[in-house]
Amino acid sequence: MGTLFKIAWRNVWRHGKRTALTIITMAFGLGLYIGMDSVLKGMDRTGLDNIINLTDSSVRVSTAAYEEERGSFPLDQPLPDPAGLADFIRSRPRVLATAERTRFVGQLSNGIDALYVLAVALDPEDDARVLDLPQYVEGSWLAGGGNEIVLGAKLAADLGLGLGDWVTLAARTRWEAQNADDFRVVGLIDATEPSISGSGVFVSFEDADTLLELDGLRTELIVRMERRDTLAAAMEDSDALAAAVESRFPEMAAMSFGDVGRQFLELAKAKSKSITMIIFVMMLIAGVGIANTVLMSVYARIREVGVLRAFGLHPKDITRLFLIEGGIIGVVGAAAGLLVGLGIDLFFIRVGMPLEAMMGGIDMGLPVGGTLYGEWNPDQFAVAAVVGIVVALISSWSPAKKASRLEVTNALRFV
Amino acid sequence: MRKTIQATLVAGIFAAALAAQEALPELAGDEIMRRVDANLAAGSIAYSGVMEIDLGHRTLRKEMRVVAQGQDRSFVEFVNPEDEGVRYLKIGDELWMYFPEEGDTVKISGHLLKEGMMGSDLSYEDTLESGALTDKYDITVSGTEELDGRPCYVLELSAKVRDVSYERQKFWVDGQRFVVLKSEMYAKSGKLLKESRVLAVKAFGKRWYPVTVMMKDLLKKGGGTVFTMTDVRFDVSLPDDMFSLRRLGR
Repeated sequence: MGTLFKIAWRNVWRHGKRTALTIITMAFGLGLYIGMDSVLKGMDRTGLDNIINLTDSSVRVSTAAYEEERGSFPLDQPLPDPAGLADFIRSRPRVLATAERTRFVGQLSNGIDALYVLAVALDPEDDARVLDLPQYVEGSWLAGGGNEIVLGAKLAADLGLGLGDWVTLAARTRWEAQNADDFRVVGLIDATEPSISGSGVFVSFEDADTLLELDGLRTELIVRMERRDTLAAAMEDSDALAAAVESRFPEMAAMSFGDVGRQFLELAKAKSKSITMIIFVMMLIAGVGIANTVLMSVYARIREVGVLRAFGLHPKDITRLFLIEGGIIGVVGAAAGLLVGLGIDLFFIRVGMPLEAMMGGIDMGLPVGGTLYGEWNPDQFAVAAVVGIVVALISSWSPAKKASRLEVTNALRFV
Repeated sequence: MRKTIQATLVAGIFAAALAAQEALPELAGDEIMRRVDANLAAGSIAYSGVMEIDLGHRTLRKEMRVVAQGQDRSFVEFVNPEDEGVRYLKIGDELWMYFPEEGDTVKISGHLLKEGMMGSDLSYEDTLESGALTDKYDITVSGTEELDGRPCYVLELSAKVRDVSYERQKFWVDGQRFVVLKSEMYAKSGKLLKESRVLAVKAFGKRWYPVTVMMKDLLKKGGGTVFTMTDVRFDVSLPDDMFSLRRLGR
């Protein structure tokens, strides 16, 4: 076996350019696979983080009637007893904080253009205990009162607004009367959640109470729960709390992180099909390359095969010889692929991909925004290595068998 | 001599304006609005309409045929090439829209109601306003003014119920024709949100009716939306199913 390996090793590098081309193809394919996997995993992780930290929290509670009409953000379906609901939720295990919110439809005007927006009225301090919005604010978060407004950075840019500018927010009061007031832009949010950067509008309850005549009307309650080490545990916690809320308050609808997260992951599954297709195509190309390299090696060395057979090498040894050659290409190609993958992975993990700059501001419908970072996934390195070597061996099998079937006399006479 | 002529001219203009104002009899706000409503009220009405929406950088033109019965029922079908076949049906405070390409009927509800109708300065909610203003507003006459050469009553409308679109409105009513020539709609905060101007009024028998109206959403720049009615016919006979979902989707 040692002799066969030495012969195979020498043969592989005898046609260096051909072998290098095959290895480069494999390295590119496997590296791309690892990089793509890293980006998609990063997108999933960021998307789930966005749900729990920026948009929906661990559990979001509103009345069942409100949830049915959620698309229109009605102000006539308030929480009947927000304080009682919050007390119950805070008494449950692993709950850290709750915050009340009221969503409403408004029209934001810079005096030249007016855009319809879905705005959120909130208690700035309570909200910051549940969601991480203030961490993404350039300028300052709401202080409460004083006609302050925080806008998504992209929305503000669309309206040509900057920090310190004044903007008019018009909306219908809870009694359906038109109202409008001027607000000073104190903060701009550029978060990893595109909907917040693109259309986020946040005002304090103090100002919204006047604008919308809320009189304490709150439409939803959001909840922060303890951070868990695994996604499954976080989902289980939120599912259990949502079930407890709906059991205690049958007229309520509690949407758990589990519910929202599972819907998100279902969508993410569709994305993983694309990565499977990429690796299939790349491995097909690499496989054809390896088969071609080994086959060319067989034809170039037919007389050599005849000599080896004449020295008494068994046809099985000939098969092994060429399989080892394929295996060497596979191992070296896989190793190169892992190196390329590691490089791409490290780039995405440390530097990230600035989505807006790359897409030129075009909305590609991605579930995340800002800079997308990759996710370290050692399992996929093992998968890539195994796939690379297996593809190389399978591709070499046919040419190796062909070589082993050559008649000694014919092989020796071959010119 | 020149000063005398100038003084005479100024005095003449003031006198004419004063005469025009003084020519208006003293009427209560409710009575003025009752006469305005009488002008507008019709068993049924049919007309062709053109809506020109000035977006600032371009102007959209929408053509339509409209049939209405009282204030609560109307049926609109767009006939301009871009929107041909799009229909609206309003019954009371409900509004449906029919999309011919999809063959689909959609009820306009929720935040869609707040958006401008076909991109205009008129929101869907504005079109759903119904009921007598005297039931919803305390109407007082704050004075008389001349507007576009017409003597007008200036009315202040202050909401007496909570479920009205505008807390306060101001009307300039032609004191002889009893047509609202100008109106201003204010937010609860006092901010002026919308303004409408009647650009043309036409007599139909004893009835004066506004046939060209400009509506402007003051939250945005642009020339506003000008709506022109032609081929106006009153008290037309309508089929029984004129205001039905079946006809909307036919």
